[in-house]
Amino acid sequence: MNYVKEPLVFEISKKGRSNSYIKDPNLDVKMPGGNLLRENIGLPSLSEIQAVRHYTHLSNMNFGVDSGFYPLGSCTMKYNPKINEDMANLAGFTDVHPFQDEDEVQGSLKLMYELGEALKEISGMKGITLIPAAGAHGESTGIKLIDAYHKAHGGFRKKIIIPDTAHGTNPASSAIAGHEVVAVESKGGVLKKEDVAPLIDENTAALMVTNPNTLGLFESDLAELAQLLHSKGALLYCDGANTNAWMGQARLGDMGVDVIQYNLHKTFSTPHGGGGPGSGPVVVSEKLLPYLPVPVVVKEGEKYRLKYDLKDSIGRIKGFYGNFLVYVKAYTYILMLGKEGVRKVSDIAVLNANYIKTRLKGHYELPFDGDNMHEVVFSDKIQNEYGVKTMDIAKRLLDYGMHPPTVYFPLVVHGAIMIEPTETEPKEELDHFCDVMIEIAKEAKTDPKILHDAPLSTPVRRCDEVGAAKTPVVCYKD
Amino acid sequence: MPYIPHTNDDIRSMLETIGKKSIDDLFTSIPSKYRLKKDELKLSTGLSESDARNEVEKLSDTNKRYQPNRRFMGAGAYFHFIPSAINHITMRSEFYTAYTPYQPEISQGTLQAIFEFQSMMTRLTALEVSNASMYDGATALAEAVLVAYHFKRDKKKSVIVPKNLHPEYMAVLKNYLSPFGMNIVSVDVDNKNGFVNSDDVKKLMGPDTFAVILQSPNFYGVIEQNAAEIAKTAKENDAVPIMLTVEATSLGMFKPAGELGFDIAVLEIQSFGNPVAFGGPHAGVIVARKDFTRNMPGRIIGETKDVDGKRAFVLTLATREQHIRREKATSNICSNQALVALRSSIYLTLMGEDGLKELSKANYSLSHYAKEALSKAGIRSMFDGISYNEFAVKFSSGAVRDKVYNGLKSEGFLPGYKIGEDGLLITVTELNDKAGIDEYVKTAGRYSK
Repeated sequence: MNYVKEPLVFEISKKGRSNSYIKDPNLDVKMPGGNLLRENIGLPSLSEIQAVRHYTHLSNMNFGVDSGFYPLGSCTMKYNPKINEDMANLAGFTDVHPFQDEDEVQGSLKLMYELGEALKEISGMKGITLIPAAGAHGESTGIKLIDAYHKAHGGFRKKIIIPDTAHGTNPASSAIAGHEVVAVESKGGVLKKEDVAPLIDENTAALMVTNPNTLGLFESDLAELAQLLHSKGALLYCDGANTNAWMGQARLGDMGVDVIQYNLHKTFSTPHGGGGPGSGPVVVSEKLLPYLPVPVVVKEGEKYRLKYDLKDSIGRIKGFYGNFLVYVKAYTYILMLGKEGVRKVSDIAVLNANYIKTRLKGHYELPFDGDNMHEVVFSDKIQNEYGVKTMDIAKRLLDYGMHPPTVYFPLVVHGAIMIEPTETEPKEELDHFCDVMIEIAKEAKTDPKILHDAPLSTPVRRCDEVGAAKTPVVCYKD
Repeated sequence: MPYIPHTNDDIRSMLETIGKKSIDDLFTSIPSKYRLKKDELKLSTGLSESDARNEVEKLSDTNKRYQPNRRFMGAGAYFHFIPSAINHITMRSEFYTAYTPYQPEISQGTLQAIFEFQSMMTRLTALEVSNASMYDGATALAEAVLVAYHFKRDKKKSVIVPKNLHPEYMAVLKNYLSPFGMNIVSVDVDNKNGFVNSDDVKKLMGPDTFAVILQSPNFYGVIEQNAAEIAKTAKENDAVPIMLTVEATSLGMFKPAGELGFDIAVLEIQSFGNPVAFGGPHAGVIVARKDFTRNMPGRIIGETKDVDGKRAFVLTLATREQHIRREKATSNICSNQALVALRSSIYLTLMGEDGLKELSKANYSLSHYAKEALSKAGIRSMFDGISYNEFAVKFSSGAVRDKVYNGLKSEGFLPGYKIGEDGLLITVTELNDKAGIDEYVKTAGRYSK
């Protein structure tokens, strides 16, 4: 982050400059009639070196997992192994067209099939679609599967029960599929069977939980909840964004869960790319197998095929077959980990979170002190006494060269500070983070101004977000 | 263990700090009857990096990769030249290992790049506001239709969709619209020309119509010549005209949605510097007139100032989005295809104003050269309408089509995409050259006899 200002690409542009990548094919072909054609586009014109420098300067104003500690809760910002990127750049993957005949793409299909089998095995589920492009897309797909099941078993059910500790996308995913969201409070941080039971009736489609939930706590009553739901004809959806806590330790499928969406860009080490592409495969129980979106990858003898003729399928949820290159990365990662590595990941992810929890307890308020798994949620209650808020703490961390935790989420904790270290961080890094957090807690008492002014060392300082929303400037004007 | 830096001493001392005897003691909240034993998962044991590389390379080698100038397949995913600089820049890990730019102070790289991307999208389409990307063109189209639906306050239920829409886009649209009880009204395609006639749209337009979709170039590669008139008809009937462009390089020469009177443009931007990659990751984007700003799904980057008055970029208008509105949100999109959008931005920067125009012309020239040569060899186009870089041809029977297709394949060509009983959709881009086209035409001609 040594670079602090870069003009917009349009401000570097000079008319007439070109990199001449394209040679005129010199064919005697007449261009079509005038009223179909456009004149100016307004794209910038830079030489290659100017473009490379421009984007290099921009990258210098960014912070990634490779830059430093990134304990963003519920986002699982683990190390992105470099071999993954090399494998995804292989020409045998990048230069293959999705409509090539099946006998020409057996390598890609086998990779998809094997990745699917591994993800089924890890979760204990019976079927899979890899296609959803992100977690939220997986959620929508899961809900459509649930709807298809109910339509075939007595009709659409309107209600989806969602606890207050669920991911923010869960209520939105339910609502856009035409559902009424019924909220349930997680007293003491986890769902209790007796709190959910009165809410389930013949109009309940499903319960949608995040497990471990956004407080980092495992929903221990999950199997009982599944039984209860099933006895009323309802299903159990589990947001699998936090799979890093349980993979290799237990299988949610064994507990009776009907749908889980994975986030390959969290648990399976594929990079977030500044917001995407992700990948949100959905695994399902036996009940939902007939409804999976098309196409489904199947193995027949030694051949792999894309199967389209599924009469009860919910249909197509995306063009082609999903974010294929992301599958290559996740598959490479699973090959490297193996079964022992898969378990070791959650061992150490949970150890790291509990270590941070122990070291920061007392310095920051811990509103729900349960058996934490892969993440822990503190609040700013102690610091509020000195007029310091979560945002100040987060911004001060930037001055210490670290990415802040997730802040103000989950909503059940006022001023939440949600920390997820992941298993790839060494003890030294955790200790450094804890030392800094403790130092910031001291600064809050002795020098709160420094926290209010933070950050001081970043390419830009606190931004006027209210002004940005009030009078939106969303593109460059000459 | 790969990617786990802990020594046994580290683990011991950390457990001591926590006050637990073993790592297993950290998992007591999982009921014991569901705990797996070590090694219980049926997965193979872990590989070394070199063995993993061999395994994955074996799979990639199993795929058939055609020589660049012998690829004639498109149909929604296009082979184009990708400047080397794109990979070098996107592989900078400050870009690809970052999360969504929630902390603007240390995310100006991503934020400014996406702001520039949005600016390029508005210029390409001659519209006013662009989002930061969607999963792909097909899901973006579906979400754009929902934007129009909500813009008309959820009161009208019919959307007019042309029969020459990409079939996968149609399937995704049906899936996305299914919870809303909408009518998808199909409009016919002019048999001779391959485009939609405005009278056919007029006939189907009713008080219940909230949107009209047009794809140009359409699935058969034909430019929709009546687009301006159709957009006008839509607006006269209080419906939102939506223009879909799947082959985005066509915008280097053909009139954009905004100039043609459309309110919303949907683009698939794979062609801008992204490999076909067996179908993904690609990316879609929705661009619209500014009246639609607060109905737009997905992230939008806006310009603002920091406390020192310096120009800065932030995620903006977040009150539209799922994490704030929860069950009142009209879209649930969160992760998008940011890195694909970044690649597209770099691509357009490298190509530049003149470069993109030259590229479009090269695509047009080469494909029309191929179209005419095939016609001379007795393989006729299905439609007379003006095409961009792909066109449909028709054979005398399905058997002849298959003979030509298999013949071309056996001689190292990726022949095109089979459509209908006896058709073939052929795509020619700047990666093809005259020599390759001549050979393709000669070979196709030989097998069609």
